[in-house]
Amino acid sequence: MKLQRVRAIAVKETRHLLRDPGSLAMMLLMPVMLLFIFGYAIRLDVLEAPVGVFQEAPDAASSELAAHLDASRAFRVVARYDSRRALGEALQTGQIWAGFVIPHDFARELAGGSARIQLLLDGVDANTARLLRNYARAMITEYALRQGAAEPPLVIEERVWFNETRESRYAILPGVIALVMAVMGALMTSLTIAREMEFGNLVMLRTTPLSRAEFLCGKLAPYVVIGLLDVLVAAWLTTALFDVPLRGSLLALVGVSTLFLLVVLLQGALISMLAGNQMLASQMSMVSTFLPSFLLSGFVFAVQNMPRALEYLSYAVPARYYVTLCKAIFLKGVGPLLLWTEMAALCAVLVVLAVATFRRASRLGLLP
Amino acid sequence: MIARLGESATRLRALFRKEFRQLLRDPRMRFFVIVPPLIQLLIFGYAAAYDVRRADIGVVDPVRSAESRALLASVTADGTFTAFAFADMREAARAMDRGAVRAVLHFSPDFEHDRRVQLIADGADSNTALMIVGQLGQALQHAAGAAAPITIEDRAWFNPNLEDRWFFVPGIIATLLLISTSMLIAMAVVRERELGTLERMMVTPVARIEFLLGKIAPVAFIGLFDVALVCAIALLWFEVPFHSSVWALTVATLLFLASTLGTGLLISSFVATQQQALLWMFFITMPMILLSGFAFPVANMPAAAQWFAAVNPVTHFMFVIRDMFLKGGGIAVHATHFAAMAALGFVAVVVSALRLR
Repeated sequence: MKLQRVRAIAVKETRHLLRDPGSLAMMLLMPVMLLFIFGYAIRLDVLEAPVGVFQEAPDAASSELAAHLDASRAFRVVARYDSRRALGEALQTGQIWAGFVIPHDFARELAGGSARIQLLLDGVDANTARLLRNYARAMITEYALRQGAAEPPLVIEERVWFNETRESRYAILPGVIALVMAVMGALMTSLTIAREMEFGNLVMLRTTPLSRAEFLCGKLAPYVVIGLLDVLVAAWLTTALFDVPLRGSLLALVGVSTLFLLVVLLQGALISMLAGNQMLASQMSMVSTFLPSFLLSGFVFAVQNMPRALEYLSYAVPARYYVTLCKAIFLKGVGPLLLWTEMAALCAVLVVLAVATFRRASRLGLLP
Repeated sequence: MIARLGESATRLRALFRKEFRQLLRDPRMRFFVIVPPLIQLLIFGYAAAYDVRRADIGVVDPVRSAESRALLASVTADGTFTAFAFADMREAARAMDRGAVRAVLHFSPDFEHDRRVQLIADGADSNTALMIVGQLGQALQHAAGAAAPITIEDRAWFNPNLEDRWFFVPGIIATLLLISTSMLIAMAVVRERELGTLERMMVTPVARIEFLLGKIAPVAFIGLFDVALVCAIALLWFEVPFHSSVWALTVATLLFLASTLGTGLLISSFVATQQQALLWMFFITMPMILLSGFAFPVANMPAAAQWFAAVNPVTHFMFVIRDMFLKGGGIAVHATHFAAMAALGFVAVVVSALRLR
């Protein structure tokens, strides 16, 4: 492997990149855009959900309960209905996400020590419905306590570690960095080799003394630089703008990111060579990188919540390890050494991909 | 006039033949039209679950009193939570750092008297943490014999078992359609430009609109085919209910297709290479999907994001298709969304047709 030849390929690839400043800008802006979407626009918890109330008898006790619901951060009582039917229609059209039905004998039963109320949920968005149900239970318990009900038998002190304020943003943003890397890596490289194959340049390379390793190193080097820039920009935005703590070391983050970057870039290169034309390569990279990284990495959907078969499948998704590492470095402040299994897995994937890419490259007729 | 229409029809027929052949010539491409949508649907159907059905929790119980053990036995009885004992909090904290347990129950050393217990969840996954704190806390109180002064009877309409799948599977149809059709058409047009065949096309008698129709037809056909395939799986395999008519669904799909194809054509009108097209695709479709209410409710978003959602065709189709599957709201509920999709699709197709050179 001659450094001079690697450099020649890297310079050529860099020129390609610089000649198209629009695409280059997009490669650097993509992480920023995704972080803004996830940091500002998306939240998994529910605030001020629109709910409706139907009091079968508008007496003091049930009005007080309705006021109590409205005063909470979780609910906003947008309408009071005068029949169960009207409440049902509002639920059907989506004006309210949940409806409380307070029975006519609520006041009497509450005085007797065991009252019932009914909660109708719009189950279309199952997760929101579950969150609302949990909030409703907590609110009602609190209300009952205030009305002088007996203290619950246990004193439970609830704590959420690593994310005391329970901001969903804190848990999501470190994962977004992983998503960005997975997508960018594949997007950047999956077409570059396919393009050369389509135009027939790869055949010409066979006549040069360039070896496979030199070709791949030179081809991927500029993208490693862009990828690392992306990581740094993303890490800076995450901590400076969105106040997510970086409890671990920046060095560990950069090290882990470099490893992951090599994995996704090789993946892109392999896709590129397998597809041979850009149209197919683009479809393949979408399906094989973006979706698994979004779904099977534990980024928003916890892997442990999935059926066993998918949990096993997720072991083959490199983003899974990177998401775990990112979250650990940002929120838990632990080093990559404690998570050595994840590190080892990433290294293993890297080796497998490197071997596969090299073999594919030799089948395409590049020099050894 | 009639003769010219006839000529046009001949040209169109030739174009259709060419485009279909070009798109589906490669057996791998045929594979990629059918298999990935299926895989995506299956994975999404099973993977996209917020619900906590299985969780390993750590337990630190210095005294191991009869009561704490009984409590533990009763909250782990249904198999949702599996308890692992740790000698002290330091060990439990290490397990939490590694991600081996998702929550820790820490009984007080004097539990029999003060009845205190700490419930610590791993906030690195905030949604799961909230669920576990809620579920486990309640199970504990209940096991300890809490008599709730007010009970809530809850009933979830449209999705009685609160299956996340019922929420995500119809949503997949929207995202799949957006990603596959807009990308296919953008790539198909840009490919001709990149290879120089677009210029050659310009010197033939083919009119711009004929060229576009030729490009649109096979991709729209693939889109409809994918929707049919995915719907069949949704109904037969995942058993998601469907409360609307096939016709309403077809109309909605066609309207939505106009905007996804318009998006793809718009992108193809200002990029020069397929590489740029792919980057732009991502840059544009990602926010469209993420801010459409697909996985995260629009109503929770700040005002600016909600404005974007209003002019985002995916939001409208997402709403309509979920409603058709689960609620069956009918045309009264769908009319504004249909109108919005039609308007957006019309604008996108016309603008891109004008821009295409």
